[in-house]
Amino acid sequence: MAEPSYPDDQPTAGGQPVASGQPTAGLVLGIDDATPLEFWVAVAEGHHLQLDDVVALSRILPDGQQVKIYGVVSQLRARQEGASFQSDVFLIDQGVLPAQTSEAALVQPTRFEPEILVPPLPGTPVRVAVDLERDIALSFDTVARDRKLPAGLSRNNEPVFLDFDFLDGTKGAHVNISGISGVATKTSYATFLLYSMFASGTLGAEAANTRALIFNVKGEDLLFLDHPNSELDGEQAARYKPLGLPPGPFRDVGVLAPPRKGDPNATPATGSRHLGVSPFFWTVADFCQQRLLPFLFADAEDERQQYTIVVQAVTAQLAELAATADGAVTLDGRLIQTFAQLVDAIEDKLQPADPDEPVDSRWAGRAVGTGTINAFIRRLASARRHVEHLVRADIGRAQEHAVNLDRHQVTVIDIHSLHDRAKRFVVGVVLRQAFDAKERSGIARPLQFVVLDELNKYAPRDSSSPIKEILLDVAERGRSLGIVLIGAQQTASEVERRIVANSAIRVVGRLDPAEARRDEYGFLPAVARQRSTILKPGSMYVAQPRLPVPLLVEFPFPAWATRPAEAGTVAGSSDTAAPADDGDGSADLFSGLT
Amino acid sequence: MNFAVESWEPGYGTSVGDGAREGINDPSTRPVDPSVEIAPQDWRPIEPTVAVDERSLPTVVFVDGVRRIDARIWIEELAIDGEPPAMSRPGVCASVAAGAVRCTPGRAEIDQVLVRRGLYTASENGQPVHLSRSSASGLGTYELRPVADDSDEAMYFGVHQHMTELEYELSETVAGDGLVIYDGPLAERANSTQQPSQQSSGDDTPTAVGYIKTQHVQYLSPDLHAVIGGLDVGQRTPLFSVGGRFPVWSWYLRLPAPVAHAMSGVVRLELSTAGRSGAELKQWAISRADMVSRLLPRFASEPHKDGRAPQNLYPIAGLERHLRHLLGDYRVLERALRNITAAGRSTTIPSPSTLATNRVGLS
Repeated sequence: MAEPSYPDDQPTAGGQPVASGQPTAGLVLGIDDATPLEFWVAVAEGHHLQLDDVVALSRILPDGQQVKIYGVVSQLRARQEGASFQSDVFLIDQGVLPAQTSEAALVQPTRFEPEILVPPLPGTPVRVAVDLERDIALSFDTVARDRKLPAGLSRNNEPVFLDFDFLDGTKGAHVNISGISGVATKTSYATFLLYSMFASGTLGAEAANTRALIFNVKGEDLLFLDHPNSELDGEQAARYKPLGLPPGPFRDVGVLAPPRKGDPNATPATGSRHLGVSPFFWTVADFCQQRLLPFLFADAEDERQQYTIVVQAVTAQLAELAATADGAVTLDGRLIQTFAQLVDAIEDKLQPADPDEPVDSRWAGRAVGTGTINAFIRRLASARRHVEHLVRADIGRAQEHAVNLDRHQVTVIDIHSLHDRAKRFVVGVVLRQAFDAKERSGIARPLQFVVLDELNKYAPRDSSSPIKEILLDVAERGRSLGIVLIGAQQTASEVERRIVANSAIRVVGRLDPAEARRDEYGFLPAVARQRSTILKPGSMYVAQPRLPVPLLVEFPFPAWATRPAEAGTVAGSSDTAAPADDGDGSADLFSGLT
Repeated sequence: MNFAVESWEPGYGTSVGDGAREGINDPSTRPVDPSVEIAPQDWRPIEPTVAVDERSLPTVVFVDGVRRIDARIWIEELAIDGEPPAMSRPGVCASVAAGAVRCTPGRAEIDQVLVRRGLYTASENGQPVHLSRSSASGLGTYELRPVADDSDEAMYFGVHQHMTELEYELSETVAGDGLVIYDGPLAERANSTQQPSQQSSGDDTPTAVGYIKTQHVQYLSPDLHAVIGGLDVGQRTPLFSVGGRFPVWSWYLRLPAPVAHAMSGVVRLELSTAGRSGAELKQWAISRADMVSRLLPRFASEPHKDGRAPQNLYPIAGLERHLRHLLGDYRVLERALRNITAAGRSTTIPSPSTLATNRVGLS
């Protein structure tokens, strides 16, 4: 088949001519409608197209103008023409019935150049777009070189980029990742994006001051980011090359873990990592003065709850208390060093020993009944067990154990061992403090990235809480303040809409089939939705504002340890993790990722 | 040539059934001799005894053609001495196609295909009609094919003849060492101007077999005809010769099908006797008849898949479907014809005519 020669058939980008010597892979077919949004291509004999292939074609308009149409193959079909019954295939196989096998590819256009939205004409030759033409097709050429953030590899190992303008707040911010736990590799992809940012040079000079905060919610998976991955083989390491990234661990990582319960020395409660882990907690004075009490109550801002009046009143009273030098407070002359003591003191204020004595309305709020006060006390008492090791002034230099996100480039806060209430408390308080700090500084740079999995737990769609409010603040105002949320959840349908809606970059790993049908994934074309239910670990759909279709990317196996068993030795450190004990010999390296 | 396109759809008027193929060319008056293989009194169903290796079946080529009337037209007679034309004469625009399917074990492929279009008329003013490429691409030309008179039968015979010629043209190029099965009697091919090359003797050339799926002519006497009713699936009758201008040896075969009546699933087959005679002819014919009878049942269609099962063999059905497709959409062709008449209207002075719906001037 001779390729028709069009005038000016050489695609150009940035003034560079592109060698368009690609053979014709097929022709736009004419029995299905070709539209500017979707069209079918009959694949020529001797050629093949596969899903996610990038293709290009040209159409000459009646006025002589050439429109180049670029697209991505989203579905393929093959059929026997001439067969009208299913069982005809046996006749054809026996050589009894003549038939012709034909293949066709469904293409979703990604770009029209110039942007004249016409359908391609049936019979138009279609070629596979490679090199520069592929970049044009995927709009990579419109992104400045230093704004291209490597986001993974296409199926034929070509890099896929994100426009960093949509991540750093210039034009948009926030990433939202959905997928089934265990196989969707959500947190691995989140850490890959972070690594890509720090290592690709996209951040430029800011890289040194940019900070990332990662909440480790499951296992001790993220405590070893600064260790090379001992399971990274040469083949996987080579996949970093096309991305322009050096394979290696994160360089500057601080790991914070809650103190061990009941340990008077407050040693961090980690099982596999001991060196380089600091405990974190708040002093009683911090707790009172920074008004952290509401974060203990998941529904404190739900106005239907009467006891929220008490929460507000008590919070206000605690803020007034005088602090001692070592982080304790005094109340009516009582020295309060532990959370237990604080709870007792509050109880004493709200439930006077003499039942006839009226309750101090400054503490209980006006016109609050005994039942309401009891509801508050009940909740406070039940929180005590879960957070008492996180709020304390009973050890020396307690103030130094406050969470400080500026100390390292990447701060990992391990909350996996905490009770749900304590998790919410820690996440809420840390985010509030980071947000307040940004608000005070008044400038967006350097950026603060926050990686948080299980968003559905912290910002559920159907209820209100101080933690959800702070997450909403981040989602809606973080872009201008320089806080970028990389949030993840199993099911986007259970997360507050405004948080998902404010994410410029949407990522989807393996989805539950019922979940994939929900409106939250409307950005995925029907075929992609179907495919999302069979995505293998390490493959994600990435939707970005620049492209009308999401791209399937594979990210290379993490070069940093993602679980204790993978942690290799860090040069100059004797801190090695527990020896690898999973001798599963699984061929799929991604099998253990989350 | 001025012509108008009949506004009735071309399908109305006359039916061109498959029966016509045999009816036209196969008068029952041809001499029949039922004693060429077995004496008439010994006639009985014969089980073909030839051993066939399923893994190395010989190549079987099926040759068939299709035809379709695209439009009926009326051609104006030339004006005499400036007088308006007094009358129009009928013509038929038709598309014909022929093709061959080569069936080898594990693969049936359409091997050769010819598509032609013709204008069949008895009018002296007939001219080829060139379809413009601007409206629809690659429609081609209706070449002029004069026919004997204005009757429908003459025009349809012209179409049929054209198709047979194409089948014939194909058979020239069909190579192979096996069987070539023609859909229809062999005699039709003999009516053509050329003689089929494969009719010459020699075992390395393909054997031409005529395949007649509908039985309109009774060749055998009633008592011998009864043997057909006694055929089991896969059995054949003894050979009988049919004389005439193009002599053949023929037999009946029952294809696999539920036996609902005496002729269920029965087909008639023909071998040309040209170039052979005597004992050699008899031995050759019997071996070929056995071979064909063993091979054909495997191509027989099933009732739920084909309205003419089992006689309409799968390869032939597939070929016909493909050929019909290649004929193109008759609505597109008819529209192209009408466009020609519409385009001509502005340059030709309309003349009174009983059918002055669409008129045309062709240079």
